[in-house]
Amino acid sequence: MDVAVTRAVLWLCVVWMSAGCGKRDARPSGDVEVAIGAQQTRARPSPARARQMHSGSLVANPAGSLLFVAHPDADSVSVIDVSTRTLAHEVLLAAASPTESPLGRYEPAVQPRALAVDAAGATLFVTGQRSGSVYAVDVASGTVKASAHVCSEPIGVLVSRDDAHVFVACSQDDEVVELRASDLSRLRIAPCPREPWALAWAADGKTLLATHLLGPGVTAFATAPLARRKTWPLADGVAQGLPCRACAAHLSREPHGPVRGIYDALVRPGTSELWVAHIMLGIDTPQPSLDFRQTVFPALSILDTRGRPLARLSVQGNPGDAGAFGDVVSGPHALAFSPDGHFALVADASSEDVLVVDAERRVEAALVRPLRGHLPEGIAWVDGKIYVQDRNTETIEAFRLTAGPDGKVSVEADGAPFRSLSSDPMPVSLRLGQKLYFSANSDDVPTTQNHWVSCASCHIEGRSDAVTWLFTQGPRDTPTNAGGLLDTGFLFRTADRTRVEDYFLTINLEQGGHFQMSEPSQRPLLKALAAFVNEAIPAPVPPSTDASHALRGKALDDLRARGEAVFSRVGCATCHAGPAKTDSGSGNPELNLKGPVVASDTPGGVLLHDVGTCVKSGPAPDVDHLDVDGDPRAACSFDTPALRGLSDSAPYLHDGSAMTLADVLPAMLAASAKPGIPPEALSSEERRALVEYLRGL
Amino acid sequence: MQLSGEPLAEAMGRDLKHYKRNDPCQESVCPPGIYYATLHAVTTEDGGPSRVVDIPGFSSAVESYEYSKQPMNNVAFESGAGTSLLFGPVLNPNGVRGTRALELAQRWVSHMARASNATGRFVQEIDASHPLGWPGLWPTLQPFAEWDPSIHPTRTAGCSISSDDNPGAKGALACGDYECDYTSLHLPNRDRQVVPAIGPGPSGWADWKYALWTLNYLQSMHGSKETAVESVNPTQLAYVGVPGNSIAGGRLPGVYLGSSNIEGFQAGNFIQILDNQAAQWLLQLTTTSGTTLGGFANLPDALRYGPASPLRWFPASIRVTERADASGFPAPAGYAITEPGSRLLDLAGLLGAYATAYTLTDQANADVGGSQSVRAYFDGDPFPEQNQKPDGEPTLHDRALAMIRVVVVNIDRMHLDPATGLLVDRASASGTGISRGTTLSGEAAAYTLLALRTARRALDSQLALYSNTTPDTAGIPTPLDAFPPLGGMTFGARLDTLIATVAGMFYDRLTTPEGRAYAGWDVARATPTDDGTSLDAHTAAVRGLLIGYLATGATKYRVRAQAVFDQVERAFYDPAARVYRATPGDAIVFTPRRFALLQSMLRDTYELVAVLPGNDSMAALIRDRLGRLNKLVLDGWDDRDGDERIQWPSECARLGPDASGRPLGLGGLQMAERALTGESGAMEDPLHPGARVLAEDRDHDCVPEISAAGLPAALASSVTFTLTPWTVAQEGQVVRGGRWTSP
Repeated sequence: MDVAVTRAVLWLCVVWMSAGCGKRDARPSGDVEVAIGAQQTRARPSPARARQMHSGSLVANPAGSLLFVAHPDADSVSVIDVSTRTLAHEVLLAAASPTESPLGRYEPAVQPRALAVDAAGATLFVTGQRSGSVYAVDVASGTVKASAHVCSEPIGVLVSRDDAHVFVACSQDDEVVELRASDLSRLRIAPCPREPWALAWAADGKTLLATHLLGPGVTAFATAPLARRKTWPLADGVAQGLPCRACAAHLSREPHGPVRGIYDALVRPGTSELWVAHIMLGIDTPQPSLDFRQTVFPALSILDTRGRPLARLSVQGNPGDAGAFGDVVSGPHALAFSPDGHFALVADASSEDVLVVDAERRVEAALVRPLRGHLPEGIAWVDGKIYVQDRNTETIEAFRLTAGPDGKVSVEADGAPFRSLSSDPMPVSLRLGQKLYFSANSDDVPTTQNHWVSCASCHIEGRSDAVTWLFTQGPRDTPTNAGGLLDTGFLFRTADRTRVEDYFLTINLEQGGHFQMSEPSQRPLLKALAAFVNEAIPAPVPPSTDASHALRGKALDDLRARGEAVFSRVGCATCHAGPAKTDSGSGNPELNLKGPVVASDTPGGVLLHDVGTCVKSGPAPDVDHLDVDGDPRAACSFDTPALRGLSDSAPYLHDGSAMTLADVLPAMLAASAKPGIPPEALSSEERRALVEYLRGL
Repeated sequence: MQLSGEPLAEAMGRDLKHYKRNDPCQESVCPPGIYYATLHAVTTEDGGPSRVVDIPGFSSAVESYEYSKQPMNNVAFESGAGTSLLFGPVLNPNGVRGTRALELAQRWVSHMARASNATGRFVQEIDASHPLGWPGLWPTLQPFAEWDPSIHPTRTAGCSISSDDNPGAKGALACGDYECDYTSLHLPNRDRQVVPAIGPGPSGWADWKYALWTLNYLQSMHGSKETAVESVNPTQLAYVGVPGNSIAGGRLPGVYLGSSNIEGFQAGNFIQILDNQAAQWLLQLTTTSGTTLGGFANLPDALRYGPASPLRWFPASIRVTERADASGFPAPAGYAITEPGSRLLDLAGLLGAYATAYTLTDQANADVGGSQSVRAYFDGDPFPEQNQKPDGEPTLHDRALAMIRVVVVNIDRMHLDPATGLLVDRASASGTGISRGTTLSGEAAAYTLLALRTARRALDSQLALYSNTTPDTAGIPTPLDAFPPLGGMTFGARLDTLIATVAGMFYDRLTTPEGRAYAGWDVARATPTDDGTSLDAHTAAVRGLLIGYLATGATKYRVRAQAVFDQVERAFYDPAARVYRATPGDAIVFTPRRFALLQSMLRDTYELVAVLPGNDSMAALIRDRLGRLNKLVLDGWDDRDGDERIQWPSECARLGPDASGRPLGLGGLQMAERALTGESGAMEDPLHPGARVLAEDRDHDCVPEISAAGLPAALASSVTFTLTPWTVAQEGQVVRGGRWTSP
């Protein structure tokens, strides 16, 4: 501050202290130019016919001349000429491009999610999440030469070393399936824990690895023949606070919590290290202490060849912590490595950036932010360049990484982004809503602060994170948004809200965002967000096999039909009625929150039930509270949840206390029994049928 | 502007509660800072915490506090180097003079003193010798741009608060520390010592500091015994500060405004100054011609000011004519424009100041304006309630918004070159249109970017006391968006565009990928204004680039800042002198601005880069640089033997004789200090236990006390160091006539 001015200039004296300092001419004077050499990282030339080591939505052919891109929102895959950055082929996998249905829903029929190319680069295999099919695309002609229905929600896909077999992670069936590459016929099935997602080859090149999106970790499979070997759980993160900070406030900001969102895994070249991208959820911090900095933590776990943990890198909670990322990123989604294995690259779907990690030192080397597109879901290193696939904007961005002799890394854009799709069938408003839903890019939209949390951080894939949060109202299992919320009555477990736009409160309170319904400039954004949630998050495809992996097809259908009869007979359907299987909003079609809280269908009432599941003790019991409009809500009166996509939304009950659907039955059978009459006793076969019916919803 | 030493020390891993700013130093060889370093887990034989010398931590966490605060107090309350607050348009709306003006001020001061519980000890009964209660209080409205700070202090002021920091152990010592008696801190020959000119620059940059310290002082309320009170029952908030209130909060009933008696009182005065200044700038001190002064018709008119409004701006310099007044304070008799142009750096000061002031009034800002301790000031007593809408009500809330609006619109209208889309330092206007300069300096660009970002964060209800270290959130609507658009955009969007423009200047024009930084950019020629060999250009560039990173989140700015930082080390650090030099040659010259840029470069680089995992060596280097810089440049202590002990006074870089003719260190940029400046609150006479001695430099840190220096605890306009060869054999000697000799 230049406010105190003296006219006397003070002449002082400072002396030299070192022996050589008397040589005035040796002193640095003025500006000294120091040449800084910057050399491009010596990426080894991609060996011809390099093997694809993990599944992804962006892959290159072995020669590095073509990029393949999956378009989940357009039901197509693109083949892009790397040299010209132009579309060589655009391959539609559905009968027609997706469009909005008469009811306004936008649900692609195929939803291609992952790609695998054979060693010759001739055939591209594509999984269709919604169609349940795998497609074989002839790269040269850009045509589908074969397709086959494989399972429910196939995601990860890889080709065997000899190109003879294709492996597919069936996320809703909890299986990995081996197909014959030539005709896509099913050869073997290997059951595994829940929701296998990405596939990767282990360092030995023979062991197949599958991540599990919602935990527990990674499963290793033998491939000759296909058989599950072992599942390597990724342990919950433990806060690593310094002793002097041994207090809850600091520890809750240290990365910790259950592992979820395990989107990718990849062996680091030249090593046997398996790097796994995921998040951790800080569910132990109750509101109101819980804030956006304590909720979701990005992480990279490094495992050895036997699945033992070597390291876990996450954000720096406090200065001096031995963290790896100095920057907060969100939604680590896809991994790549430089060919020499020196740098790991992480595409972060929510914070919308690329984290560059010095894999030797295991610290952040650079952060590429901002990207010019939105929702980056794929990343690949091809011939010295980094390519990033932006799902929302359907663009590809190219970068060039250079590392100087001092170890400093810079990543510069290599030209302008280029289109990966000639024409986007998804309506602009839904694209906007999709961006808002997945974005924690606080440089772009105020959905959070410092890139921490997006809606999708907890609603992983628009669904659930399979954990219970300690909210002010009580313990709350994260509900799914899949299938939309328009026909599910009131929202929140105790009918506290009526429309998705009301979730600006969640954005503000839990994500640290800044939205107001009253703000004219933000109303359209909330409307777009609501439209995306209500119209463009498809309901899960039910499992195509029973829980024991014994029944499929008609046998399974018959079992579920018997279960439906049980469902009606024992009275479940009394409350779980209608298309969405809920009585929420009955008698109150306008969803007027001001209506009296009632326990039976009453015109204008807010129908809630005490089904005996109330949590009355513990660190976060259910408590009386107010709804969004200030109306009182009792602690133990709950809104009947819809049952859509039930198989995918474990755990169950409002507090997540029932781990399986079988665990739900005692409480619900008791709740559905008439007063004074004991719940109906079901045979084991009836229970099995009922559970399978529920899994099929 | 954000001299945030405490968070910097915390970023270094220091625990502030272990520092003791009045640790007595009665040894001949004094440590320059004591730190009870529990982090290092070192204990003494008796199991107590180890005392370690921690120069960077102590100078950042403790001393920078005073370096920042005391020059501000000198301007606002002590020296009289400005126009008098008695004639501010809010405090004195009818412009009365003489005793009527004095009575208004007395009423205000007395009221504020009671509300902050500062009566008695600080604010005394009003009488002829204490016309405003507080002995010697001389509150300024607009500071003068330039003055000679020499004073004739005494050693007999009978008012001390030095015992606050160590009551009991050493006892209170009445000494000339001037903390609560400003009488002898006035400019003794004010008419001859000041250049009576005001301007948006001096006011803006002083105001920014006032506003920041007000945020600091309003972090809590306080009880009767000056214990912090974080909250009270909401129904009792209106009674906070009411004399005789019985609100439970501290050890005894009664809760008062501000974090302590003195800080609550001073904060109220800062708010009063800010509010009066805003009213004067908006309604009296604008020009539409460059020749005559006037103002907006009213506050709503200022809030609506936009591209289509008649151009109205703040002239760079205004000469004030004063006349003696019966109030005892000089009254303004006239204002005349002496420099009609508009300066970007001046506008940056005003923008930062009123953005920060707005934060105090913004109840949506939970940490500041929404907190009870701040709302207690704006609940009708002592300041009016505000409806939180930008509708032109006569409150600081709306005046601050209007200042933000006018400044940003004029940066856009006057300083943005339409041909290139780039900002320029200077602009003026006449009937024929706007005439712009052709250059933008890096320093002005850095501070403009800081001010623009501060405004953005304030309007987003995100601004807090200390600068944050994480990127801002984009897209939050602002309360000024409802007014006419700027360039077809909402106010907030236009603000973002300006931020991006200035940040882009640093990346695309003012620096190179190799880290070279230019002092300025010639907009007309599209070339740098120099060859990129100035220290200030580089430090300003790091500052600007890191602000750009925080404002946009784009990491390219941070990467470039690292490159420039590396260039500063390579090109400007003199390992022999262990300090940065701005130019080749023997002399090493520091001004407050150079020091501020350099220190903020080090601080920002530390907080935003060095703390990142893997950057340990950079962190160590910056800690070393910070400690040396603070102690050498501010204090004038040259630890030439590197033992981290002050060989006093021989290691004081500038020596003069004390009253007895013995050598006395005369300080660095810091010309003098009072007891609270640093390490020692009181000094026990080693020869006579229990007795106190008055010394010229009780803490032996090379900065003389006010009495010895004949100068206030403020910063010099410059300090120049020259290098003289030295060897260990000359330990204990001092330089006289260019040669080492025994003291």
